[in-house]
Amino acid sequence: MKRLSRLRPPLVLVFVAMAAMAAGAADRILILRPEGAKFEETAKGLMHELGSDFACQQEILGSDRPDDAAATLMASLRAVRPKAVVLMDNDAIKLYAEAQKRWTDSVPYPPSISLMAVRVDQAIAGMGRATGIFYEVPGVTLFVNLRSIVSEPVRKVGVIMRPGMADFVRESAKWCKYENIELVPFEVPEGRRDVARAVRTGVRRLRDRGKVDALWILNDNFFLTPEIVETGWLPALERFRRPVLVGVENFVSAGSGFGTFAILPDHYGLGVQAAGMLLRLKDDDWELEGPAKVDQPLSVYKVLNLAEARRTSKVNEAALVEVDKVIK
Amino acid sequence: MRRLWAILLLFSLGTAQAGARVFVYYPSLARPLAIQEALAKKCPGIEVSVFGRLADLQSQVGREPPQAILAQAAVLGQFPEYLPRLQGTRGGLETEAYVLLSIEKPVDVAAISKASIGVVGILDRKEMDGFVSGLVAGTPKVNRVTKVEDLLPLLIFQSVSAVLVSETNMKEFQKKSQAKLVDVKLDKAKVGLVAAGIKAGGAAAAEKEILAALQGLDGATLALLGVDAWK
Repeated sequence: MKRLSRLRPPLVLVFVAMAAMAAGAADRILILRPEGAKFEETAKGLMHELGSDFACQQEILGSDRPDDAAATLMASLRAVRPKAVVLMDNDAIKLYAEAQKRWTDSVPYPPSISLMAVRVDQAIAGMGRATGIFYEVPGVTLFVNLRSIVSEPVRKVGVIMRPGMADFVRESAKWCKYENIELVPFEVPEGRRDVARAVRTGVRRLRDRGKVDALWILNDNFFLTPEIVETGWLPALERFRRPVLVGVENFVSAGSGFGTFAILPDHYGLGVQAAGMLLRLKDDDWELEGPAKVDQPLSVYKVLNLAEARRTSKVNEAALVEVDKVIK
Repeated sequence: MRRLWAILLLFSLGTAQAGARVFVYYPSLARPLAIQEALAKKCPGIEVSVFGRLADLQSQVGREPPQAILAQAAVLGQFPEYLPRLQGTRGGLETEAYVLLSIEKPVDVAAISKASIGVVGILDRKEMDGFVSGLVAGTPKVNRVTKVEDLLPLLIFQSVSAVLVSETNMKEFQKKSQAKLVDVKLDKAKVGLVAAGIKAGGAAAAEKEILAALQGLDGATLALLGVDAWK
């Protein structure tokens, strides 16, 4: 593992070249990622799944990055000659996109798989030879899991969103149809000043007019500032009395009065899924053409606030063994 | 100070002899922690560790080999130093049937080698490819996941043509999902249920303790291991 920091480029080159030689005949994969436990977990899943047929070289994107990090990355690419690059988070994607723009070598730059970034589809839209996995857990995964936990039917789920998330919600609605679940959106304009008030109105309308069975709160900072949570969501949810699905574990903590059921990406599983994409890429001789296609994440980590679930629904107690963490 | 050392020594000896250790690897819809808590409650004196990932089981067996491993027969076969002593059964059978489950329309078994199949990776990649080929009589592209529940989104997002699951899990998926799930039965797809493998040359007392504890498990705990009796 190596840190992409203020090392002098020649030193970086020597280090990387040695690692690459040690890798021998195995297919080399370059992983570009920030520090942090969740990124390590994803890398672990990826490397376990790939096994010894692949040699994975990790480059850590620290805060003390070199002035021309893209040039340093290009030097690493030329030295390691990876078959593919795995990019974790938006910064890594931006850096690789910059390196791609400046790539003039006769051999094409390696294909990339991007993950753990906000809206991967948008982040890789302008890149060549790119694919990825969404970090946002699709609604259908949340709703099917909720249906296992509560006895009441889950047929209509409300969601408060801004137009910028409409495509993501539409995509989710498409998958929901397979499960006979209708997504009922309440749209808040991007320029709206009193967002907290809009949230209160939205929750009320979804409950009274939309007759929704549950509410899905998107991981969108536009709606999740401390002030909006305090003055918008909390008073509105107090009267909502139906399960609230969230994508952040803290939102289901004891006494939070916010979420009922949190479903987050399982980082190890995300790594395994990325490994599967690499294996398919290898089967295709590392060819990746056409517009970027982004897969949905498969593996999730589930946290249930049991008191909140019991307050809003009849809980199927036998299904609690399927939940990773039950907050009592 | 000398007394403190003596107490520490006694404590460490006590810990070292504190009974047998059993590792469990059985991917199911129940979380490993839930299985571990249930087993630990029913097997006092035995240290039970339940693993949700094959790689974690493999590395832990390498580091601190337990006296016993509980896993499906195919998994147990990967640890030759553990000899099967108890075979789990369900309805009197030692194996369970696996099916190909798809969405909307049945998968074409005759063209299975052109299909992509989702499976839980209970074996290493190459071994798993061979395992799948043996069950489906073909060589499909194998798309591995770590948890049983991950197979359902794989189908819903149409990432694979079908998933290979036990009939028990198929029924669970059909209960959970309102999608049109269609199964295709496979003639030769029978997979061994959970068995208990005991480490060859291990302490006889620990072995006896483990086997007695497993044979004393109640129906609800056995169900978490996918069996209803031992043979």
